[in-house]
Amino acid sequence: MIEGLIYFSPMLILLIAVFILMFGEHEEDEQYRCFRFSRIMLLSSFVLEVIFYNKPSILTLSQGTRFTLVFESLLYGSGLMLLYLSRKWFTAMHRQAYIFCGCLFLTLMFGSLLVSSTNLGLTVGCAVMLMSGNYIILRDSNTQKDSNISSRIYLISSLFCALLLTGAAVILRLLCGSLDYEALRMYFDLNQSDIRLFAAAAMLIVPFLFLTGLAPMHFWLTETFGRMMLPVFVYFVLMSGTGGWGGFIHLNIAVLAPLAAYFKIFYVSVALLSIGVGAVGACGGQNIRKIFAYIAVYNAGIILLTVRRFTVNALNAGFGYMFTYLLAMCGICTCLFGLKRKGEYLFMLSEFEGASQKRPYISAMMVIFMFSLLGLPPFSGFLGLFSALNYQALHHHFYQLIYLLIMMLVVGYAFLQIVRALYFEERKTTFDKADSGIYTAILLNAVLMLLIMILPQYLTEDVRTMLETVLQ
Amino acid sequence: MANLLLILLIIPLLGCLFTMAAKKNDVNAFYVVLFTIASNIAVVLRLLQAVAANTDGTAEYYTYTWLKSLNIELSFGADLFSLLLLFGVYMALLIGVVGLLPQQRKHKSLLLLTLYFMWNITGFLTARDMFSFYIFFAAMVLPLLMLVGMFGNVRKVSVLYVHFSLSLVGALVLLIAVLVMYRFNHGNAELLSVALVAMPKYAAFVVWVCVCAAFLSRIPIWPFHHWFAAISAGIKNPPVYIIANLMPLTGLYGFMRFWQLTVPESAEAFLPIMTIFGVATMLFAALIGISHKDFLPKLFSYSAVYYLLFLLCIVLLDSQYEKNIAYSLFIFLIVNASLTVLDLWSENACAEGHCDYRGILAYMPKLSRIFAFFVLVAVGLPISSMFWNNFVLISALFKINFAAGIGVMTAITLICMGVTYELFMMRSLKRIGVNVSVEDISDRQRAFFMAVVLLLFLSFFDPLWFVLS
Repeated sequence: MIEGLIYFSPMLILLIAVFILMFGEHEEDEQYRCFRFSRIMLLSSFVLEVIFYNKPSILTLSQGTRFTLVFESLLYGSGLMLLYLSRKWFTAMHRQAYIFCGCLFLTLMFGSLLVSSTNLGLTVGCAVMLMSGNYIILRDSNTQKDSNISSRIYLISSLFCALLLTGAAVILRLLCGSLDYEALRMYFDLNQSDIRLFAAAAMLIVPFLFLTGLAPMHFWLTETFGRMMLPVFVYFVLMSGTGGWGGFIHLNIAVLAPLAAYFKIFYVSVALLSIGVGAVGACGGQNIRKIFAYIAVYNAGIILLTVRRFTVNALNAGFGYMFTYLLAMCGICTCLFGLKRKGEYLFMLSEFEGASQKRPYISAMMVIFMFSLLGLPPFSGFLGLFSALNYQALHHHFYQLIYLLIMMLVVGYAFLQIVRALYFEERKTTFDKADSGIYTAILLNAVLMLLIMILPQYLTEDVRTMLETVLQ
Repeated sequence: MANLLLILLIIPLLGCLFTMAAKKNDVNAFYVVLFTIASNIAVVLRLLQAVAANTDGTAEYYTYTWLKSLNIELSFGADLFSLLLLFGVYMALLIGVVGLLPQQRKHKSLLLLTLYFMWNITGFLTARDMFSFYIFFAAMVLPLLMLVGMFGNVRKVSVLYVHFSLSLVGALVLLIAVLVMYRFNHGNAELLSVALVAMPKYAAFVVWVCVCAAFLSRIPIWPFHHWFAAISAGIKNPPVYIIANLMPLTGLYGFMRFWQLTVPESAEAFLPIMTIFGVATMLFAALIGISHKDFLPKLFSYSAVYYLLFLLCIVLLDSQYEKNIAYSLFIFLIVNASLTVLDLWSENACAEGHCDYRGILAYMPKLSRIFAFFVLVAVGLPISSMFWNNFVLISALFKINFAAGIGVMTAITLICMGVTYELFMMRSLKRIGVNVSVEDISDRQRAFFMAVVLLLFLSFFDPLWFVLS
């Protein structure tokens, strides 16, 4: 019992942090203390998670493996980065950050549980809690009328998704008699032609498309990003989707694998649609956050196109892509934190005009991160893109490969608009001085990118070994 | 020698770091760039010495296991061809950087991007396998975009968009070719053996169409010629103009490496089409060059004609002419860069002296003599090794395809006449006011260009005279 409790301590720490942050009494203007507390709790939870990742905790419905550790590392890493960057925003704006930090811990906790869950009931609960966390964070960040509407859209969509998930769980419980992943998988194996199973599987998949921001369930992502406050934008870009991906991949491997052949075309269609919608949508935007929201949809499409077979090679390629994407996106978000005017963070493209003349390093790094996101060598994004494209080529999916490259060209056009605003336009306004923390974060990100590009074996071969052990 | 190759790749990156750390609005970054280029020239000369000493003409390779599980080893090496091109490119960049006006020497971003481009082209010209080749081929898109966008005075943004898209398309189609070849070769392939990778017929066709499209997108051949002209038209910054003009070299080098041993069966069908388009574009570029009234557009037409000549030589002639192409390209790169800088200097002198551009050389005797020498080298007079080598190459073209030879010769004659006429006009006293005070080039600048003149002139006797035995 005590042993199980110790192994459960990473989750307990997160849970305690959520309670203290969201339900405790706090004085105003305590951002520094709030972020320091959050950082300490997050780091201790992460360290314990790494130490006890495969130990059986008191929560018998989840089982940590190396696979879960990979996703949890991504989640915790993104969380740490988000805390580091958000502190600057909340301090500058003199806003309370308790709800924001609490939701962050909520996402970490339920995201981790979602990845390691071995029971559909827990998966459904975690997914619903993840969506609730997202909604709370959206509502808390509302400052304008249009963002209020977008949070309502999110609420309605997530309620619909929660209903679908619950419906699927009920159907499967009635059919199979258990919600345990192993039992469900056996049942799926034996009754592949049962139409009710297909319906249940589809009801499980749709909410995950919503969580990961894949088209056609992407509307909330692109609509809410426009005028959202910067830390919340970063939260959705870096964290919300990562947790969703972990759960989605795990669900497909552990439960839906027998139906993989049937869902193949569906996944390919969704992936291609997301890539197309993301790339074309990014070109039409004048709001930089909206452009990156579409880029997130485009990247989610590429990830799905790569992992859709859920084999070791596919997951390895998909993970490589996801990691380099997150790294580049993290860099871009840091740059967005570094570019502000009179204390206000910018979002319209016209506001970035001539930024390179006043903030040359941040602008240069933003261009580098964007080109990395595009997958151009010699930046680390090329490694991820190569993994994804090579996987298509290996399986003779040449039409998809060509489609992907055409869409890359379209995304290139969108990025060129940002480059034009940063570099080729005359500066009309002034930019505030960025503090040294931003430069440090950018430098760290750049060093990490450099290391990944020079020593890619840590990303590809070591992760592959981890995945192989799990999938065997 | 393997270490020297690594040093060659590392020096520009170190230069980039030092340039970034240099003070704003100061010339320190300028000196860093000069030192970096000079250091790399010294390393190239040392490598050339080693290559000349080797009986098989190749230096040692440097390999780096990049992705073991995917069987990708990045390998770098240098032979006489790539080293001569590197030397030519470094000289062109050095001339471009020396040609910067005092106020331009303080542009840190310009200097940084120049060094970054230098690193890319160094990697590109020393790449020995298709992956490292692709990495550096595609990597050049970024510095080119930034340099042209920031310092190219491109009037229409749409021109920049199309040019960037063209470069990106070139990189992406090459990526398709590389991925397909990787798939059928079950791993990375050496550039020398790329043409020998066994593939099904349809895959080979796709690969070679992609390869041709990727390299042709960097060469001013129809239908891509317009965008090169549109981009180059407004550039008044020497290194930027020279870098934009070096891009066709990357396409030529690609053909040279991918078809070094043999022209693949699937690509043989493209040769007549490429020949026809090549010769037609040469003639067209030469006529356009004649119709222009300024020297720089004429020089652009001249370089387009010569790049297409080299393209035809690479795709039509045997590998025994490889050295001739290398010697000729080496001189061509230096002459082109020198003429660009000298013309931009004279244009600047006109702007400062408020006088007509035509006739300006009559008031700048020091610059005029040097200018005349480079024009005479450019038109192919027997004062550099370009004379011998072009003679050999054009004779071989005549032998292979007489009609193409006639077309090539006509285009070269036309453009050379155009360039010589412009030299005459720029020296004509009648065209400029009498009371005009124009400052000539300084003694330092003169000494620098005299050294370049010496380098070219001595090459007439021995193209590799600078390699110590």
